[in-house]
Amino acid sequence: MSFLGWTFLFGAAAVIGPIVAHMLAKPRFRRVPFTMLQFLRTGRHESHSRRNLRDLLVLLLRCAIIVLIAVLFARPVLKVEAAPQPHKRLHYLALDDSASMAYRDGRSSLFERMIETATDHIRRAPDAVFGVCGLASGRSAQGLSRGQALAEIQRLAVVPKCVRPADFSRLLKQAASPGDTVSAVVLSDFTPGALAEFERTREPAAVDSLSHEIIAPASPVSNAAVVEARAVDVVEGKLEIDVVVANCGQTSQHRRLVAKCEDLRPVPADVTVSSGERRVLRVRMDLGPRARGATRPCLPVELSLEPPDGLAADDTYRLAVCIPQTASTKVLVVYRRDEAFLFETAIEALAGQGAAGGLRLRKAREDRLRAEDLTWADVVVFSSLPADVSCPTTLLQSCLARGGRLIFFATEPGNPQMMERLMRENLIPAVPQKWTQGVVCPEPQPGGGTEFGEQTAKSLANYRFDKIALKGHWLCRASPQAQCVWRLSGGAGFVYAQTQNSGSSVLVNTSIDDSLGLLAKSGAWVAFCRFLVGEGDRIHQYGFRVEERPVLNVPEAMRGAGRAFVDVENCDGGKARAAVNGMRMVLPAPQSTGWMRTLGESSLYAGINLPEGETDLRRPSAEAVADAMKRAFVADPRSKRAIAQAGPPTQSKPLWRAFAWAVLLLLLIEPAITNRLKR
Amino acid sequence: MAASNREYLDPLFLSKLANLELVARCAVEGFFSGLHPSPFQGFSVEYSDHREYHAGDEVKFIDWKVYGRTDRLCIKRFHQETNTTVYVLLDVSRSMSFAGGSTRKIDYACYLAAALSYLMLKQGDSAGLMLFAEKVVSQVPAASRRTHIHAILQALDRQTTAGRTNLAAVLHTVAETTKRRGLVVLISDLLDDEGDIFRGLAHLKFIKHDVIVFHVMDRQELNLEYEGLVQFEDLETGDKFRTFPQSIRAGYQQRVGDFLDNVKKTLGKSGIDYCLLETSEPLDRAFIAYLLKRRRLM
Repeated sequence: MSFLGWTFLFGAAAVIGPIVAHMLAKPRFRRVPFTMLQFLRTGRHESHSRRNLRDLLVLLLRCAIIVLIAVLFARPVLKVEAAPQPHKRLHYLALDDSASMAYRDGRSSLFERMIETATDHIRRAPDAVFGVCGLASGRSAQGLSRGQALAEIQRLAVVPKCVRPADFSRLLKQAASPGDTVSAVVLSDFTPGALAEFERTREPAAVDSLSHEIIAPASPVSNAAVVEARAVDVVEGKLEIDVVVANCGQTSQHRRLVAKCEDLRPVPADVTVSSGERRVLRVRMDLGPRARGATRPCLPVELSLEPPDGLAADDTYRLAVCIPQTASTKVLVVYRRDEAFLFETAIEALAGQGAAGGLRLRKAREDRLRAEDLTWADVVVFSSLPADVSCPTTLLQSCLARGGRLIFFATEPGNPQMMERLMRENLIPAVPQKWTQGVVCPEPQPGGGTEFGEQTAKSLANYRFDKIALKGHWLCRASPQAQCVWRLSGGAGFVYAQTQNSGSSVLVNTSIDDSLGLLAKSGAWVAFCRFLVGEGDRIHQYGFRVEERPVLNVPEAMRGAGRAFVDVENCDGGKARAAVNGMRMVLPAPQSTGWMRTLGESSLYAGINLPEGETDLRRPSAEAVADAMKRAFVADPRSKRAIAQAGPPTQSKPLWRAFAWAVLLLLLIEPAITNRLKR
Repeated sequence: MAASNREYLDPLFLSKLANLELVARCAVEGFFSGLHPSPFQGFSVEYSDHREYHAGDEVKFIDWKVYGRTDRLCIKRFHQETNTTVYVLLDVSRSMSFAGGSTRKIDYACYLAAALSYLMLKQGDSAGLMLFAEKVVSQVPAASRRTHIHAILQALDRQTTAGRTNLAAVLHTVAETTKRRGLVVLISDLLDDEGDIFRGLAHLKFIKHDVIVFHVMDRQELNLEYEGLVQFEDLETGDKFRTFPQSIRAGYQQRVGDFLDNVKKTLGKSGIDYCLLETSEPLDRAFIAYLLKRRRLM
């Protein structure tokens, strides 16, 4: 008997516990004065010795249970001699069906040539049991006759994936018995990506003979690819995308890059790249009405090289771009004294951070606030709570109705009448009530505020946001709809937020002027303002590779619905479900290139592209391929013979089911036996 | 017996009365008030018959009324008014201090002795008390005065349990020292050698004493109802014995049962009344046993 997880056997040492307890335990008795001891004494020795025996039996039973549980966790297997099997001659073929094999040179593709070569190989091979494995698809079949093997290789097709030699190695290890003669043949184009995968093999497979053949195009490789794309900004209604075009072949390429997006006008750009060169092109797509706030914020942009070359699959790169609904966010800072410069600095810094359209700032004194200022603004920042009772709440209401945001800093107590009015009209999430002196710091992470950016919160952590000591705080009365999204170290609320229509209002409990100054002087100030203003001006872009799990940001409208799953359409048109986790949506790993999109009113797209290594078709040297093969396979018949002579073939028979039943049985009968013995 | 009266016989109730006289009075009055036309009441001087006067007879016994009617001198004869002398022997050895429940055996025995003494004196008998362990510890001589109860109660109040039981020696001493034939009431747990006990009691019977044995036992002594690991410590010898009572309970009950059967059978053969009393039992069974014996004696 052997164990698969023998380390668990150390758990059997736990029997020491009951044994020590048994040895140390002194029977606890109570003293009772009595009179008729002569009637008790008969049978004393019998009772005492039997008691000891019973205790010992109970101890043994409990120790047995512990040992059996340890053995069960160690997963025992029984090695039994397997019935002798006649030695076989195995002939296995590893065929590269990765994306690069679709390269077409003249009449046929590399894949078709590889199938022809494999067919010849099978026909010429001596009588054997055949096995076939697709290196990229992982599709495998073994124990095949010659005819079956020929039919099997015809079923293989190119898949948009990289090669995984580990699948073939595993197949060889499982199939071969000691004494069998194994010969393996690897047919591949051995691109640099494929070679790297072969070299990365951890446990080489043992074979008696190994041969490989490089399936390479007859003429110099002609292949250029769009390998990367990134949306940079929206400037004057045009979406700017940086596109990386690489020449992965051996001939110079003169191609036209065309950016297409649904009904938008395609944008062409000519590009010339020499062999091995990578060029970055900036494409500007006119968004038209979408630049001014579109109803569908996610654009599926396809960047294609024309005309097609030898490998068409890598000529197109798919990138979904989510453009903020407003081209630029207009921020109005309402100030009472001269604290507006604090916000001015932060907003200007934010505006320069590559956001789409940036932020535009306007300042207004509280007593000179005009209706047109409030109508203009998307975000209104009150540097202190309004003291003026004539504050136009109707205009604030309309700002929220437009999807705007009101931000209040509680640096000074506002006018109580005005506070009550703001609260009554759901314009402010909380009202400060009582001032409490004492140093408090913000907690490291915001709480349940799904509306606020996680990314910004993370960047705040970089600035040691939770180390900023504020000099005190207000105890606030929050409205029933409000949510405390960030707390102070004492437990008091730091940031309160509530949504009203499609907009939101925020109260920041900065308490007094000094606290606001401390916050503004810290490095976290700009990031904190980003947190407050929101992520409305950030471009999200989704371009992924096959087998990479796409993660999308959940749109605000969907967040409010509180859904745990979203239906999505795969690249091949099939339906699947994506899990929604807070602000993120995790889509199932795609198996082919194309578009994945959420199903619903406003779809989110994710572009799925070829794996990065599959576009590089540079021809490998024979030496490099031979080296890679040596790493992936051990062609040493002696090692196999040694294994064969070591002893008769054995078969592992798992025993843990029997042990599990034994443990269960003992656990069930243990109380009954203990009771019976102690009676 | 009415339920309200019966409580006066309950040892638990009696244990709450600090005064032994009150205990005795409550017990006896409670007993009698519960009885209906009593077969036990009254012993008086009763006329028997007349006989002819012979020389030497005391003149004071001549019935002059008969002489006036018949001119014959006749002597009037009466049933002799007989008072029984009762010796109450109370075991005050250490084993009597055992209490399995709320009442100690010695307390129960004291209530019993006090109540019996009160009853005896009320019936006109002479009552004496001997407290013994290994030997007679203290003694109150027999007397029939009603006020004699105070001397008995005082002795009972002063008693303390000490020493081991040596019942045989005490019984022999009693047999040798009592001048007048009477009723011996033994109140004990009989924790001594069985043969010795029987020999001592046989000695008493030999000199024509009537004997009642009140065997006082605790419920735990009879049934051994303890649970868990227990170290039993002998009150008299200090011996220790550790065991799980539940494992030996059946054997113990068997042996105790055999012992009690043997005692009962042997004493019955000797014409000795035997009454097993459990400390949680009311006292009335003891009174009835005494009064039945008393009636047989008269």
